[in-house]
Amino acid sequence: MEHLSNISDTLAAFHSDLNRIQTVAGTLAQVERQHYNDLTKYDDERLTRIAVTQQSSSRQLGEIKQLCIAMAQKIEEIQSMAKK
Amino acid sequence: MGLLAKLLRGVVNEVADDTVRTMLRDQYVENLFELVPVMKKVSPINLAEIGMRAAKGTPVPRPLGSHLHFSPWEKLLFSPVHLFRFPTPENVGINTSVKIGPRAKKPLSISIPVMIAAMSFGGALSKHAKIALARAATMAGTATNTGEAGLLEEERQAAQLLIGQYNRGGWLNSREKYSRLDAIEIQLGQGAQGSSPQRTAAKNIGEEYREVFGLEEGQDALIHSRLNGVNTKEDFIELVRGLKEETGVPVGLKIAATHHLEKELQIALDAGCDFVTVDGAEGGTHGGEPILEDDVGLPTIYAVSRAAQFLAGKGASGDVSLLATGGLVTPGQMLKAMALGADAVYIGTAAVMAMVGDQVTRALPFEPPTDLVVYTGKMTDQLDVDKSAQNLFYFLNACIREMELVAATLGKVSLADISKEDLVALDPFLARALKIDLGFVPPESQDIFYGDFEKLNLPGTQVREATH
Repeated sequence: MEHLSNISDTLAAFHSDLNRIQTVAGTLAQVERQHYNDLTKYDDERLTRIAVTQQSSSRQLGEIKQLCIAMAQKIEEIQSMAKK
Repeated sequence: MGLLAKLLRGVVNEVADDTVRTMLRDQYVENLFELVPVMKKVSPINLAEIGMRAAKGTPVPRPLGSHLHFSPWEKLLFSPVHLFRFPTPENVGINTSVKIGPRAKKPLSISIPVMIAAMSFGGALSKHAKIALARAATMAGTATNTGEAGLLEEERQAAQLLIGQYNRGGWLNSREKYSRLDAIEIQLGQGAQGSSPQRTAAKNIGEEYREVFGLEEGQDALIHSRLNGVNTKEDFIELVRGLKEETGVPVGLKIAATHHLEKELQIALDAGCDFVTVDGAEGGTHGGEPILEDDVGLPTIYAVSRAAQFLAGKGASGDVSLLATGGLVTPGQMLKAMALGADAVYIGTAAVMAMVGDQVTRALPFEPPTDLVVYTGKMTDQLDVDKSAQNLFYFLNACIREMELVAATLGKVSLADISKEDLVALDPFLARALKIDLGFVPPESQDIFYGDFEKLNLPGTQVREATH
């Protein structure tokens, strides 16, 4: 039973951490998007190139966010199955 | 105007006048102008290929696939929203990520739904080109594909996500190679060549090519029409299950799209494939016989639609990823393929063009730009790998940004949410085939349009009561 309790606590910790990572990734994605908007205002080729990289980073952070959401949902499923 | 210029203009004028006079007065059959209707009748491409066949006596492999536009993508348009549903606010990020093979033990997650198509080292591209493609894919957070080749170490190192083709040449089919892949695509055919056998002559195979492919000196590289050991449906099922069990990565099937599509896909489902790749008739290649490129297969637009409808009918949508490829060169075409049901797309020709970009000037005007990237090209050492990777990365970024703008105007927050409901067709037959509303009439009149024109409440027509 103690073993199961540890697993349950570990899953809860993972779930919490995933939510945190998801929030950070989402926030950073938004920051990167804003950087893109800011840098492309100047119509400068070098700044635009940096902006494009920021835009791509924003998408990759968005992907991490989606992965975290999916993993958190999976953990919730496991937790509810364990309760039954 | 200088004397020389005046003289030159005079000469040109005389020649032009004489040419026009001759063209108008000569018998048509002896007239140089006959080339114009002949070109129009036969087409410049066919005329040149007739000459090439006549000169060599062998088929003439044509680079980059068919020049025919089989898929009428321009007959589909997206439908923006304004009030009944609102567009997506500009500060909201559009989700562009996709998970391929979600039921696999180790699904493949990519940041954007556009991947680099299978173009092999040696059989198609140079090492520099392959590395550049892999670097660009990594920068964009997407995957690249080995093509029918062995495992090129430099490509593996440069690609964060590498899909490898378990191929009919057998060059990647050993455990120590395929266990290093992020997804395995069993290649049984391709849009540009169907399931036909292919051969690269030993004279075109260099030392590194031999090493990567495990060939002896003087040995040709042969792609058989069948995959070694797969002669029955059961053999294929056993292969898929074995690869899934051994590796845990998504295992899929790649075929040339044909009218037998649903029968092929049923076997893929029976085998438990995690994804299927359908390569339409517009698919590119390093060099394929014109008859295979122009006269074989099924256009990408119908292939995607049919495959998506089949998977949906089997309840497999979402479990088995659908990858579309073949002639997709604009972001609009790519997004339309996804709206028709593809989870992601591969691009080949467009990726190579983007990669070369402004480096074409190094080849032109005396050599074709492909000389910079194909394995047998004379100028492969002049391809700047960093510049090529950056060019392709920018191209991918621009394409995805354009797709995001469409998503915003459709009121969507994810590219994956865009569906057939967001499309309208401008051709009645296409609309029916793809199960998309026809743009000529309102949504509520769709069935009437096909059933009875007279019942349509169109301006200037008299509305009559329906008879029962």
